[in-house]
Amino acid sequence: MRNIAIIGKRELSSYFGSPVAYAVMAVFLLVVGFIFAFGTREASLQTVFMNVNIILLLVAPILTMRLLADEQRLGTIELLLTSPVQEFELVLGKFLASIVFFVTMLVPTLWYPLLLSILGNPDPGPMLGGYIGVLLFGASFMAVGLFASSISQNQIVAAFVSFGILLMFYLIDAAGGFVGGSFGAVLGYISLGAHLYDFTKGVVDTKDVVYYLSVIAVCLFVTTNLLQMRRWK
Amino acid sequence: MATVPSWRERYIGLILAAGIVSLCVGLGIYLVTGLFDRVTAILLALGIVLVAWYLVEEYQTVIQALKGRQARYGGNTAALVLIFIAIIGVINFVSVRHSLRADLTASREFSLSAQTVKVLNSLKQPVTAKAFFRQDDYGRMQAEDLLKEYQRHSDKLQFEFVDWETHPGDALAYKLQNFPVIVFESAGHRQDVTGFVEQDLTSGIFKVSSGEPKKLLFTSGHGEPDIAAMTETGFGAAKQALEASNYKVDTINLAATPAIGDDVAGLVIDAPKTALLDAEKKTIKDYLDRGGKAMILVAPKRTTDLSDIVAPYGLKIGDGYVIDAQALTGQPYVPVITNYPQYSPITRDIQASNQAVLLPMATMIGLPDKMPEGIEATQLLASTSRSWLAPDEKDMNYHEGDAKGPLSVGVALTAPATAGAQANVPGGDQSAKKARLIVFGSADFASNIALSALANEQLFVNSVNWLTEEEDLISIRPQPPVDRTLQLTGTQAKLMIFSSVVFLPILMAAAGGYVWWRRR
Repeated sequence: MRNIAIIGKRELSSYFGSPVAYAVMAVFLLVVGFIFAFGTREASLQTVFMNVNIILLLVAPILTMRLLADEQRLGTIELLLTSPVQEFELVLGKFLASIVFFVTMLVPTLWYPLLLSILGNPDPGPMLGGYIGVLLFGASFMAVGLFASSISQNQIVAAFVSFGILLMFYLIDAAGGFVGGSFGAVLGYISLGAHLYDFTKGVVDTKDVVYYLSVIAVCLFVTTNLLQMRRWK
Repeated sequence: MATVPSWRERYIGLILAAGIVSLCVGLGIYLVTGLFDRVTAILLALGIVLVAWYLVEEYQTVIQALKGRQARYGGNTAALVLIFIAIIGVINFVSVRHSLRADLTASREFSLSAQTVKVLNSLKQPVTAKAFFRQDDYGRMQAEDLLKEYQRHSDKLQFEFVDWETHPGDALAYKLQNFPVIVFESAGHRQDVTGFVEQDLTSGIFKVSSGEPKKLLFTSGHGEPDIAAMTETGFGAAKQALEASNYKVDTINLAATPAIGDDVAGLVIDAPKTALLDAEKKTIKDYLDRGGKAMILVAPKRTTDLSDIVAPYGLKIGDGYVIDAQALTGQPYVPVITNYPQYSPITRDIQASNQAVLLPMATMIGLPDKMPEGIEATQLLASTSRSWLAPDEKDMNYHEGDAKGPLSVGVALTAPATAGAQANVPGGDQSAKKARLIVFGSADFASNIALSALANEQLFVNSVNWLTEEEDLISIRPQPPVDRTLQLTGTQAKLMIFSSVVFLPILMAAAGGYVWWRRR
């Protein structure tokens, strides 16, 4: 357990010590702020939540590309893996760090609901639900990015792979509509964006929570196993 | 010997990749289109050939790889991952079937009311719902969300959505004219529902499952239109529409009936030409005082004086024709009504879906400034402000002194009953019943010739539904949804834009700049 915390903290200080991360957060806030300021007609964050999908599609790969790719390139990963640190501790530590960073990126957006409460009469339920959804949604993106980062030494490749996977998820939603029947239903279920909708309405459904946790679990599991395989190369 | 790799050795990897891609594309096309045609066959064949070629060329390497430790370990890992994904898949499958949800909205709009749950739980017979919607019809998503939620509470409810445009046969089988609509059926009864909020659906389910159709009586004996006739001026179509909504429609001769029974869900006084006897008026009054429900249709100049019946409720039936200069039909005495002055469940969906009603030959229904004690009135329909009441049918022009628009042409009201009541709905409110009265300034709008025009049928059926509604079901969210539109002053809008688009990002960038500077 302690190892996870150590790895996590180390990764966090790496995040917050990098100006690039702040630049990415600034761009994120700019785009989301734009959507909020010009797209909001009524006192709710629905427009923002429904569009956060696209923005994260571009931002998440950049935030996660470094996580494991760098270590592999610099060779520090061998160092880590020969130490008493287990693969899953490494993966979990890095993942948690990315989550904390993601939350930090979201915190400034709390200004929007605050502003709305002052200027209008928003319903707090859907806003709360929406944030919970975006948190889980973003965490899944981070998990996918972490996985992508583990399969290459090159950060750029990792970013592209991550982007590709997330884009595929995004498109599967549309494909599910095309392909009818039970196959289409399964495709529709796999879509990351589809499970966000209920949250933004103000409904927290366990099936959506289970879905996002599943995506995270699968990504982390596969990443851990990949690293284990490398160790025994 | 050192050799320059032959072209085969150099490109064999590419051949394998091409073969795999070809297989994938072929498989993909087959999965999506479901057709195994020439293109698919060629792609699959090509893929197999290329992969086979690779295997033959690289025979040795492949065997080595498969036997090697990495392959074994990789194989193990792959198997582990697949098993893990399968387990996760099962967990998800179970979670979808048995999910719990928390509704965080202020008006709890995504949870069912306690009443709906009770109605659903008390279902004894299976109920099926056929929802006739096109993909983008108004109310579809709402209806589907609700039906799914209803189904969680009762496995006796089954529903399916039918696209009435692509499946006209199904729609025809039910003799449906207006869409969208949900048809509930249970144990041989049928109830059509054209509103899609919780109250409408629950009401529909309740009616169809409570077995007996409601008794609706039309007065007769005073020259009223014939409810069995399918002629232009008859009311046969209206009768059919009502029967599709689980009503039993009949006539009643008030002169020969001393009292209207408690089992009568509603009375329709349909433009009687000759005067009503005092005894008949008293029967009606007694019925209303006991919490009865009545609809009065007035045909201007062709209807006897009904002021004795409506005056106690503060209403005054006008004597003349509503002439609307903004006549969209080209005939000014056939006003098209798009003006729904006050919110009412009767007109809610008609208004929300931007529909209008056609009221041929209408007169105005006058409301006092202050309604009598205990009586709540809702103006359902009104003509435009460019209208007036012409007292003489031969002269449609406006004259000084004529009543000016907007003129009320449809009013619904509730009044306290003087006798006791009984709740009929499980979980319903047992308090006093109320009398309900709807007065329309036009009778022709529901006649055979006009009923199928615009939203006339919906208006008529909705009105009867509202009239005969169990009060107990009314308490399901009668209020209109909360309006949360943002009204911003110029300064506020600027604040919103500046703070989110300029200030926050710059703050973040500044933090980044600070970190960068510190690192130097």
